[in-house]
Amino acid sequence: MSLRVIERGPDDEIDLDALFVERARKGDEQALTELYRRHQHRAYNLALRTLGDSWDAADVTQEAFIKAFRNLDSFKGEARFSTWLHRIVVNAAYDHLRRHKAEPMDSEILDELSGPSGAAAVVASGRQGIDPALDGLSAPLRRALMSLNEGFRFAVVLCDLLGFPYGDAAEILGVQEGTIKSRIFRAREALAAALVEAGYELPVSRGDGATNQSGRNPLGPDGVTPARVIEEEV
Amino acid sequence: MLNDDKQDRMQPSPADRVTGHLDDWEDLAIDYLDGQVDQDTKAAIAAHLESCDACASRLGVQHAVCNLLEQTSLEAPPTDLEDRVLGEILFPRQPAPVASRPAADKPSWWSMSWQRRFKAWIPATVAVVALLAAVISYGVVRGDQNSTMPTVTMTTVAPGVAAAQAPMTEAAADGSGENYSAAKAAGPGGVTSTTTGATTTAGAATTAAGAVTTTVNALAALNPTTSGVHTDAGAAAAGPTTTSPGFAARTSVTIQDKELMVSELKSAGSPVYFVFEPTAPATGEEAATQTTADFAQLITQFTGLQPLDESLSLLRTTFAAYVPRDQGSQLVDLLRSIGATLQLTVNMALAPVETTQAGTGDEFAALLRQHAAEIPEMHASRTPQPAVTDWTFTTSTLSPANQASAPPDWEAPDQAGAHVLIVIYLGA
Repeated sequence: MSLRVIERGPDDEIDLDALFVERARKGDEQALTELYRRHQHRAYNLALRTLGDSWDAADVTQEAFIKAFRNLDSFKGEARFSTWLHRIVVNAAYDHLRRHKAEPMDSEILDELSGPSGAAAVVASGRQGIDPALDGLSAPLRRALMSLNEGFRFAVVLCDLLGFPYGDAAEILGVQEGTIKSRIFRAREALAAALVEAGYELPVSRGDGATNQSGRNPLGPDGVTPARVIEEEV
Repeated sequence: MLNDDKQDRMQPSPADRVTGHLDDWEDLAIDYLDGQVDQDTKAAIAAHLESCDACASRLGVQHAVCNLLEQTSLEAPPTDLEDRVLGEILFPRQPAPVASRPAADKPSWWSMSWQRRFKAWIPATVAVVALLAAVISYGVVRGDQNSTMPTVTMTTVAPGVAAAQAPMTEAAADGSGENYSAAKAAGPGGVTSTTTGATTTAGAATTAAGAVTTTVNALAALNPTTSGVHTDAGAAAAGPTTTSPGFAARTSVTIQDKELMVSELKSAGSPVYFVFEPTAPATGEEAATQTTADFAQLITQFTGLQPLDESLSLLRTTFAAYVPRDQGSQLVDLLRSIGATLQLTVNMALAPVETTQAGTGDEFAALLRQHAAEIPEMHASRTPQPAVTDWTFTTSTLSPANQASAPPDWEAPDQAGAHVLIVIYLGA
């Protein structure tokens, strides 16, 4: 049996983003505003949680949106707009990190990771202070997130925090879906370890009850009903 | 959650992979938690968890962290971000300062399609973006060959909607010695440039209806006794304008936009002021005192700078340093990080925003100049993360602070051009 998961907006069969993109290309400023408003929250939070600084996040989000809007013509619709846009955000965020650090690229570290011992290496070399800018993510969790190596941080932020399906996250980050899952798995363990170390109590239950999480944090674009996840037999 | 068809064909029964412990089937464990595995796999995993406490507990951790993250609410983006994004599309900023505007400067496709209709649409707040991105021009005039007296005049015209169509006026080079002017246009905005002479400042502003004109004069005289420079002519000479009442001629233009700050630092005369101001209205005297202490401490901690002597202070604690122009970006990042920590907004200005203890901005600048040799050079470098604690700064004093006097041929680093003199202080 094979399951195909299709995301649909509130207006069945209609990809609103594609509609807005089409209109925006023709110079419809309202459509562009709509595109911005539908995606600003996730895009900004993607930057915020991966960069850890609200100023930088705003800059990177701004840069990404401007780049996307100026290059709408190059968006061919092979990917969904959301995927395309967030890939631009990820690239801008990576660029920002690269500009501001002189550490070995994460891919090099990631390549060396294998086996159970890998979890330790998921945590980057002790990075402490997180910009305590105004935000809601509790300080220990924020700190724990920022202690992750980039590849893991981006994956866990995209999937667990922002609710992107693994397939979308894989597309956004340009890696295999299996890689995403593996990174998520290790990132969660590293996060848990960091939280415990910070004295945070994790409400842990035995993991034998596979809760039916139908629809992973299905955050829709802002201002619209969250997309429904429909499972269809193929 | 998406089953990979290809993988399905190659491994028709993922349940077979459930051997050993969690680490060998991480991906399946993830799917299991999401309820996205077939019955066989689910049974196989359940069976293993039944017999292996370690794996069961690890999966529990997975579940808990996942829940924690999913329940975390998203942060609202800054309210001005929408305007920053759409404003940039509407008013594409011109690239670098250019001596003359190329005639073939073709508006972008977006700006063209929007110019036709944005009247009905632009949010009023876009005007703020226009102000920030507005036209700034400098005329820097060097005096006689012995003493250098840079005079910086900045005229900003924030176009109203009507003014957006105003024609661009080029700066007319005037005055003696080395002269240059740079005009940066914010898209279709009108440009007014001001020329300066060594002893007078004549600001000529052309504004269209609804435009706001502000003029800032920042004067720095290396040797005040020979200066004889007056800077108060800007307003009087501003010509016929429709300047809104309440906008004093010497109102400081402040910049919050990072890119603008950095580009200004690259070309600015000296000194440039960074003023930290409360994001929200101050909540009592105690809070203000607290902030002052924190501010001074953080600046010292991250820049190595010591507060200036009280006689040299602006409103409150004040710092000054020479910063290499090419490190403006790091400096701005640092200051904004500190601002975020203290919940203060950082503004850049070409003159002190408030009346100062030392007198006018010009007098303060002159005073600062007398102590130029004592002002340290600050190198900014930023290591790993945007987190404040990861900043490292080194300062090197060009000339020992307690040295009686600088050598006669000593030249302040900003006079050499590679540095800019910055003043950091806490505003009202």
